[in-house]
Amino acid sequence: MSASLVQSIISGLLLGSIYALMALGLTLIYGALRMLNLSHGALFMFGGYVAWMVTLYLGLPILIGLMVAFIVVSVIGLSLHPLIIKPLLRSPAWEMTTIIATLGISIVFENLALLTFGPRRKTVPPILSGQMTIYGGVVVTYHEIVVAVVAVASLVIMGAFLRRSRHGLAVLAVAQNQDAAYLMGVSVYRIFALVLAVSSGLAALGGGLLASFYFLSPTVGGTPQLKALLVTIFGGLGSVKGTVYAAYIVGLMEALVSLYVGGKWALPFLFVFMILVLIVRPSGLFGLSEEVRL
Amino acid sequence: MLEITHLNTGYGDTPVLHNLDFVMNRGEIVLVLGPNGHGKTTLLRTISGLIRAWSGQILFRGRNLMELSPDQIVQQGIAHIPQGDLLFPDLTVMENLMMGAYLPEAWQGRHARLQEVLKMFPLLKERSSQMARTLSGGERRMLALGRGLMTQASLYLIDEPSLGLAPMLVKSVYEDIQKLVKQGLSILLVEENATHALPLADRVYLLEGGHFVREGVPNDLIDDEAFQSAYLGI
Repeated sequence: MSASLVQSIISGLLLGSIYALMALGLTLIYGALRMLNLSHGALFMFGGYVAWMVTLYLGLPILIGLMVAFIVVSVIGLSLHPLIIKPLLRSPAWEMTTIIATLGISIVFENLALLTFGPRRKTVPPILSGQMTIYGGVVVTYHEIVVAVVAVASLVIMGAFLRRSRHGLAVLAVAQNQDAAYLMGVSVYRIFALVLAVSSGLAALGGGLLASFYFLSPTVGGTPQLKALLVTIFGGLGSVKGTVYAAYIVGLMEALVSLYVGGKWALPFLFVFMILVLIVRPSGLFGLSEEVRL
Repeated sequence: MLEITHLNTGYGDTPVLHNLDFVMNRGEIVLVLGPNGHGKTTLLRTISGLIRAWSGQILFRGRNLMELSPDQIVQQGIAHIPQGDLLFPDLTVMENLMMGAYLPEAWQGRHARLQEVLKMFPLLKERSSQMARTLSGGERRMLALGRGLMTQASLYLIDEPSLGLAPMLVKSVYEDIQKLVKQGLSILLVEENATHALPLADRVYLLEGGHFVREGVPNDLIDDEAFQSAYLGI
């Protein structure tokens, strides 16, 4: 194996971990609420800013910054409950109205960030500086390692939370059969709130981790949201397992296409591939069956 | 324990249940018999709050259930084992059982409870790491019963456990229900066919066209010819 191949596989896995983190939040919300949350990118952006402020102004380590970002953005995400979910819950065309509403919210959020932080792009230093060389000249920065470790650890914690804990199981239960969840005594509204908070927190983690790869700006969440959407649709909206698989497939594919064909072809290639997958499997790799919600 | 007075409800503008009065005591097995589409499932779904009652009153241990949401009703100690099972298809058998113990008190004692349920239904133990969607019809019904038992409720609403099963499986499902009866639970059982359910019942209500047309003990009904032809197929 050539060094450049190894390098791009590593970067593919890294991308995959972050996509998984981003897309997991989207898919959880879709699963529980059948709502495509187009403000996910804005929450990602807030995560970046919060982590940046905590590290820059308070001088605290980035891991603390990430935790603070998780909590602060969870609270911001919770605001969607009174802003969108409550008013629209009983209205017809729930899926369509929530797409429009969350898009609106994301515009509000982005402009709030513009007001607060200004239009100037912020450069964020890497979490750790330095790098190491492995396998015939392949370079991995410490920053990348930290990003991968935090992302994978969060995925593992999320997996344990969803499969082992009471409330995690309830999140999956609400996604799979809402009436049955009610009959188990699950307060479905509270689960909606829990899912919003967790999903927003995950977006914030993504934002905080990626902040040093991008420049921070109010619209920085756009591309990650697009990628996360692609991953969730590809994996099957609402399926946690499908989303994680799809994230790594998309990450690796992006890295390999960049290596062999060229970086500008990565996104077009992914979209064509997704269209092909959807022709064969309309609900994605592991999609939930279509179901009317609420 | 459960007292329903003048209950009316339906779907949209269409009434389904008319002025029902119903009483059930602690430890009783009450059977509601009726043809399909005459309101049996609607009655259970109204008790557990999945359908809103239009008027009347549903009292459970003196508490009016009509003011409560479905999850609050479950908290009062009512377990609804629904028609068609309503399992969580992409959770394992074990996770489905654990969801049965979702409420905090049941969750505390879930491991001990699980052992009891698995002793009752040994097959579920063999299947414990399988996804619920891969189970056969009879196994699904068994899981639904087991999940219901995990709740540690004081009243069990069981909706047509024989529905869609082959005759041999119906027999085994009723053997399972017999196990619940032996535990001294209070059970409100709804069925279309009386053959298996009637011997278990302390009292029977006949629900036809959304009205209770008759109420009595099984022995009275068995002698009735009209009842025999309608519900026992004799």
